[in-house]
Amino acid sequence: MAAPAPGGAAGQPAQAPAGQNVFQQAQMGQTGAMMGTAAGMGYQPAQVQAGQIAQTDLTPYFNPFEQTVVQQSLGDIEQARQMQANQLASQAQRAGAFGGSRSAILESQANEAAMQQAARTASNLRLGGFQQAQQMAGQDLGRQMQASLANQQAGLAGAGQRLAAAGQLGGLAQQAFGMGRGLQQDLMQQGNIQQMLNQQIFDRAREQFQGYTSFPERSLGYLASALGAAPVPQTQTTTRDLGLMDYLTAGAQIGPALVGMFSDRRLKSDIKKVGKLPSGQGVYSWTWNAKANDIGLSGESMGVMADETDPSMVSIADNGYQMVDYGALLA
Amino acid sequence: MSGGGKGGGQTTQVEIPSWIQGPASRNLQRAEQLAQVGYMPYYGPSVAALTPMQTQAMQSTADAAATFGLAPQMDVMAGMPQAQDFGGIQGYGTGQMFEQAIADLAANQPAQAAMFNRQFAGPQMGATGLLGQGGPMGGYSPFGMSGALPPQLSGGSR
Repeated sequence: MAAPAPGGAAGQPAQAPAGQNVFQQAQMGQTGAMMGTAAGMGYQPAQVQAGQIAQTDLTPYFNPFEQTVVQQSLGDIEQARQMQANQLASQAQRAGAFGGSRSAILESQANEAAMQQAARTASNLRLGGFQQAQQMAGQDLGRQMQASLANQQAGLAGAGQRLAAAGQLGGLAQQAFGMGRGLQQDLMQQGNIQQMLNQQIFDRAREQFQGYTSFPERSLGYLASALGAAPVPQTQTTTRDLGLMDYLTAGAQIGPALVGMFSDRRLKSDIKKVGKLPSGQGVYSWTWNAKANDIGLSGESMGVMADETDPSMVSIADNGYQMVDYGALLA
Repeated sequence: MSGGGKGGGQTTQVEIPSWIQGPASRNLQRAEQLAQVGYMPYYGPSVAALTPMQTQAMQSTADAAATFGLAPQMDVMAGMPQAQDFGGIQGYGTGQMFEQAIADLAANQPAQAAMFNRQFAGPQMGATGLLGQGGPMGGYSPFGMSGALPPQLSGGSR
């Protein structure tokens, strides 16, 4: 039994209406496949039963001319009997014994033989007719059985084909569904690329706007960075008031060498006042100049100026420069 | 630190050169001015809308679900906000939501919002707020809150 395909008559393939998308076709195919499979599962093959001679009416198989043949044969036998009877009568007349007992016996024997022959002939003819009818009926029953089996096989084959077609329809439906899904995913993927591109454009635009709004802050940062990175020269002025311990320390450090130390202002440069003695005399730091270098003095030093010192503590060296007696000064 | 006597002492004074004092001072003044500008809202696009390909794919999925009886027939864009056109690109901006949030803040916390807003200039008014005025809390609202605008700026609109 063929299941009616969706949208089409039984045994005819389903026609997808124009405009249906692949999912609708897949759904139709799946429904058709399910219906076809269900129908195939319920298929009942044709029943085949063997015919029996005993239950078969043999009348149609008898020779319709059998009775005629039998009658003809019996007629022939009767004619032969009469001819023999006539022959016996003729013989008896010639022998003068017609009507005698011997003639009657011979006639009776001839009639009996004829009757027996007629009976055998009719019987054989009818037996042959029956056997022929039985044989023909048997052959028909065999052909009917063969035809029934062939029909049964054809039905089974048809059901198998329909099941296979339903399976193929289901496969096609699945294929259509997969194809639709694949195209959907392609669409979505390409759409995502487009959206991502648009989003990137928006993001760049927003970055530009943020760059615009944050530029003043950044410009402040530029200046602050410039100020912070520049080597800002700082002037550090240190004023030191020397105490007694300072002098003692200085005296201990310089010791006897300070006695008669050059304190001539002409030997010094970069003179800075760094403190004062308890007496009020200034204490300076300086750098020995070229003239000092000539007499073996170099680098920086600290002390008093000869021209501010009590003259009793100042002496003139051989090279003409003034020297201060620090021992007396710190005493 | 200074000292004298037996222990002595010293005083250290660091002097910044005059040539750097000017730029540093101007930078501070400029920072003060910029601090009055306030928040600069962004009214441009923020989120890209779904593209036709995406909506088509989504609609196709919904249609397929409906075909197989898994969902009713539906419009996948139903309930989605209407995208705006930004130079040929469909997208969404959050400027209106921002303004709505500010308005809600002003409605629910008026004093707090007004005090906050008085600190800064309005985004489209080009005026200075409380810091620039250097005066009392007589500023104005940068986000269109009525009643907080000074008379000279009351004619402005956003």
